Amino acid sequence: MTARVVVIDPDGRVRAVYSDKLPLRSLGPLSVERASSVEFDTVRQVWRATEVGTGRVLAEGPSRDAVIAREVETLEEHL
Amino acid sequence: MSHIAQVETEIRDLNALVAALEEINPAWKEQVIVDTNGTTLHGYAEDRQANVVIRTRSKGSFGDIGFLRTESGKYRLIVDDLDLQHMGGKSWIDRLTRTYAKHVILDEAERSGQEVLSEETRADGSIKIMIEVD
Repeated sequence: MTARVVVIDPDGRVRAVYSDKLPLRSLGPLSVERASSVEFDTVRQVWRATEVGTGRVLAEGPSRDAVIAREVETLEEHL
Repeated sequence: MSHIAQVETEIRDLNALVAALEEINPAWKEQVIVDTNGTTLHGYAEDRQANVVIRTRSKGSFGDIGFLRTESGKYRLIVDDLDLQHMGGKSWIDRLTRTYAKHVILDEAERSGQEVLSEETRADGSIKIMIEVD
């Protein structure tokens, strides 16, 4: 099971970590910004997701899939 | 890598608009008139037509509240300035917009067979919805 979060701001704007499976397009014109990058650390042999702009580590680990899943959860916690 | 998407909500879905109006003012339930050809609004100096009408004029307002479907497909609010001020001004429009957005999201989730796991109104008035996508 994969759960995704959608936040409707007080003024009616809608925000989410982008997914084709969320009905965002039916609400109005989208703007999309890159939030994170996922790179492999060859020294530590782990995948690491970092926030664009701040460089904050969102998730880290040996499994790329698990890192991406955790990265999305962390971004959604801050929506 | 992930992307953050933001949508400027536009009121385009008639059913979600009616549902939002009835939610924010339950007294309007079954009072909302929908007419795709246009119905005259009462209480305005000039003839004004709308496709969604609430007969608030007869309930003491300066004029009826209406929504006119524009060529772009968006619904434009028609309301007397003083009535809008009385209802809360921009905060009423914001509340309508977010309630509308919620109905669109819930309707689309249901249409897609997705389960809505939770819906929470937060302290700042924002609404957080969690949807099971697969």
